[in-house]
Amino acid sequence: MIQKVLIANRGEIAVRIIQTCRILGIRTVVAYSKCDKDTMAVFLADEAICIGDSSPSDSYLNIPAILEAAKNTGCDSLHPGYGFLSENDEFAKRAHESGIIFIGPSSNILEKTANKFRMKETARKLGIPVIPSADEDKCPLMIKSSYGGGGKGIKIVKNRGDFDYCLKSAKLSLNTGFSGDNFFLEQIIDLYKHIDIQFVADKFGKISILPARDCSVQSHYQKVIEETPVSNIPKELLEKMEQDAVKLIKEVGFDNVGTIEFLVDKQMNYYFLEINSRLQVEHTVTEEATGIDLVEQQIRIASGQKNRLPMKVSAKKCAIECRLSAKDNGELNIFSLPTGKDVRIDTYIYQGYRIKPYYDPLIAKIIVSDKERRRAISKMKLALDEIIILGAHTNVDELYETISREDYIVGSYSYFGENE
Amino acid sequence: MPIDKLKKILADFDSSEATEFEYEDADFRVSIKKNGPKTDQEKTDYSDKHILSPLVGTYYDVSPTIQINERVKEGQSLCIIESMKIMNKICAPADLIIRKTYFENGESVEFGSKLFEVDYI
Amino acid sequence: MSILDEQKIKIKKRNARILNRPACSNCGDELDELLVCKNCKHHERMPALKRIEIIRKNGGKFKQLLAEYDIDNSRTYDYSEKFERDKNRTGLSESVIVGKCKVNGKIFITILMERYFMVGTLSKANGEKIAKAFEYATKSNLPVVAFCAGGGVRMQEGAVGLVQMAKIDATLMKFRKKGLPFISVLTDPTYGGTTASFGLMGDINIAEPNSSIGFGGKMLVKDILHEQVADDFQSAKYVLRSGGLDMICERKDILNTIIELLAILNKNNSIKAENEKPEYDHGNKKPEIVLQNIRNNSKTVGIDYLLKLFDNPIILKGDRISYDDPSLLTGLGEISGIKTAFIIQNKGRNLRENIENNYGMTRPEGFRKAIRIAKLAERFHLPVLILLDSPGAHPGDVAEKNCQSIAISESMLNLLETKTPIVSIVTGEGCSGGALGLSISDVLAMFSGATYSVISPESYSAIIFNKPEVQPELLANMKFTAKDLYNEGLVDEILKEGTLEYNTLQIERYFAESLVRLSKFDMKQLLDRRYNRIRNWDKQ
Repeated sequence: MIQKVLIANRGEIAVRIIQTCRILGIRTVVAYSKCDKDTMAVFLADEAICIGDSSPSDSYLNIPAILEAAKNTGCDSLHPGYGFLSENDEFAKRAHESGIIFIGPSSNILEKTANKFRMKETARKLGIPVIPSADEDKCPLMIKSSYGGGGKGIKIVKNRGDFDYCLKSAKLSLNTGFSGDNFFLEQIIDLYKHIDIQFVADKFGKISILPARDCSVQSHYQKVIEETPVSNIPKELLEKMEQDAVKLIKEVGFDNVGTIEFLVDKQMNYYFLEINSRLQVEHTVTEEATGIDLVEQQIRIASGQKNRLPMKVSAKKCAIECRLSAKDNGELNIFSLPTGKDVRIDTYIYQGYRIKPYYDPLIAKIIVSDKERRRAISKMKLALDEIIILGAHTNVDELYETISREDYIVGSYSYFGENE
Repeated sequence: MPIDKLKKILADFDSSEATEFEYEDADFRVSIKKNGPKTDQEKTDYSDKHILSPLVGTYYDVSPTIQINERVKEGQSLCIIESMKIMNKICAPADLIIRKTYFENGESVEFGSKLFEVDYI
Repeated sequence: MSILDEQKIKIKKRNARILNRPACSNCGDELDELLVCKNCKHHERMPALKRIEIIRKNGGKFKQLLAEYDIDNSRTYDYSEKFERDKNRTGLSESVIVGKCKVNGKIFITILMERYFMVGTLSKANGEKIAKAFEYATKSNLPVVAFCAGGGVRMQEGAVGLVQMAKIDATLMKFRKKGLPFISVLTDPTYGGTTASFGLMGDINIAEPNSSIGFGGKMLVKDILHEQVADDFQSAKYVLRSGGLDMICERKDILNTIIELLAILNKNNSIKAENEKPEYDHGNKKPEIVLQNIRNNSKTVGIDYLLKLFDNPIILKGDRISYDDPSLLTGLGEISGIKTAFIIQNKGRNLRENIENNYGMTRPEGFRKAIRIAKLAERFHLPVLILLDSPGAHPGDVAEKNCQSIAISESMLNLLETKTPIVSIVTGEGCSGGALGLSISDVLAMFSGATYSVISPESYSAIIFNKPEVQPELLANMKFTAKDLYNEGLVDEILKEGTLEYNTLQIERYFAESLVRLSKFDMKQLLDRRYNRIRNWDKQ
């Protein structure tokens, strides 16, 4: 079992990782950028080391600085969180070469899964339905980056004339640690649902499928509200997706916690979208619905332990997550946050914290759970009412308005959110 | 100076780009300085009186080791910070005198760590 | 307001948005059909077309006039994009609608301004329209009611826009000369050129609650002048306090108030001859008893008389210069079927009221208000009833700052030539300049227990005898009782007094009877007679 982990990330996920490490008795070191000195993770970790300037490329994307920090502080492992370098195979390789355990899949797996286009091909060859490709002249179409993530590098082209501009735009929007500028073109799906199939796989080939997540509420291709289990999708369809997921995981040889994403169209056809080789932001709803600590699973598997979960895990509860984001940078005046039974908040903010402009605007994840979905929605509405944060504008009103929609309450909502 | 007038002058000073203000008359004197803009993007490697580490790594002395009160010329190596087997030379940004050292050979430094206290000549 | 209160309001507004319901911008609650909050009575802005709808809903008629003046100058002055946008969103062709209204039998011209059309600004086109509206009303002998809103002059039209203000005032001047009433209703928000030309020039200025009314925009004041202003700067209450408004009236009552005002301001007054004569009392009264009664706080004060004399008084506030003096109640009402203007000095009935009303000591702004009301009465051929009861004009700093002496002199001079009958009655204490300033009338009477002196007995005693306690022999020499004044020929009559009801009846009778007597004279004779009375006051 690993003893000391370097957390190469920030914000709420860094705090999340510290929590599980505390439970497991693992010592924590947080690598932070200059402007993140006053953050919760730095405060909570056993040790902290400043690795660079505020801009992500100087710090959270700075591979030598992170590895050096892990070495200097005597860490035997590092956790990359999500985003930043979490799916960077070169990073994983160099960590391995430095004798540091990378908490995630092996670097050769990452190398395979990093390229979305390649993964699409792999899936197609296995007989898994994929989104049909398009060519430049068949507009509308979608431009996708082979290495994008978190909604970046995607552009819709409405007319042939806009193609070059959209391609340039898509290239510019990539500013994370993904290298290369490969792009591919896909037809646009009449989208109904965006489904995550969460799985846990160990180095010995044991795969467990966890309850699927419905992530159809998005804004600019970023997820905003997620829930589990999935309602309003025929059970058989879901089973087929899960079976295909297992097929792909086996083929790739994936050896840690990950997610296979599918799209479902209004005609109830499903398509493989991509594989996420890291812990996801919305892992929380799966944890609340199943009672499983996914960070713990990651750590155990990376330490070489066996996957002890059943092959199929069912949801004990319904869980919903709302991502609370800041719309501007200000000093937070936090008057009240949600409380109560089955209310979970993953956050790193505190009274007087000033939001930094360099990073993702996510400030808190509000997760509620209950045996019944409708009850969970009521809990979420109350939780959102409880949020009184001044100093920066948040999207709390939009979140409330969304879960108050007729179609959300009934569960029949289809994907929405290009501009929401 | 009537208080309203002073308030107005302070308001104008605050919103202007001037950083210093002095006023004196027969019965009143005031002198104010503004702090520089608070940015996180300040130059981090060389600040007044201190040389800071520009990266995470291990500190190594140069040969011969820098001594206290030693006069150093611009461009001269002060120490080496090793990161991932790459040796990074830290050089003096101008002629200076070393007043304090903070690290010993082989110790770990982080980004922004104070390496030397100096006086610029 | 606590954080939780603010959060509650935020949530209410959000929930209203979800249900696509309009919500109160103050507390988030539901609005009624007049766009007034059901919970906190906050008045939301009302579009001009909706006002017309409401007039019609209440059984009134509205016919649009002068639509040919809705000329589109937006291309000439380069603002056609905004112009088109606002045409679409309001359904109007310009920011002003003019029409002829008939409500409860009263016909008047109405000018409605729409804030959501080019910010309700005055332009070459609608400036001409408003001017034409006043000219039409002048020619047709109709009153004008304006619902003002907007940000002033349309900047895009430059100086051409600016001069519209003067143009409108020119036609307003001629309108006024004809003695026709102009009622201005200030709505939220009314600024700049509108306010500074005709918006606050009504014979009666009415504001809707929580309207913003002012000259310069708040931004101008804060950012360019860097001035700290009060929280209620330019609010309706602020303007009322500053003497610019006659009243603040809730939207639901505005139409009725306008009709009531038009009923009084229409120069049709009948003075019936069949009123009972008042009862007189020429008996002697001991000065110390008289003084004791005056000083006894349970004696009735101005507002008591006001509420008994008039069923539906319309109180008009403000001197249109700087302040509304609460120690002087002025306005319009009906006594025994006679439409009249009233000016009533008002002390307090308890400590709190006394402080609010400065113990009834009239301020210069009070005298100026009195003059304004007298002039209003003159224009609309209404008699003036003045009730006097005050320990004297305010002698302090606030009064001196505002030229109290000049105010009193001007009050006397103005009343002397006000072309309408004036009846003054001393109901309580008539003291010094405070009383004299309002005693320039055609007839002057006193209640039998009232006093009229050059100075209060206490002050007299303090000055002459260095003692604050009043000595009885001093009182006898002061000769301030009604009988004393009657004997010296300084007042016309002593009225018997008793209960409040009886006194009210006495006032009504004396007022009616005096007006009947004075109706014998034409205006020139009336003024000559008044002049002679005052010129020879001590010789009667």
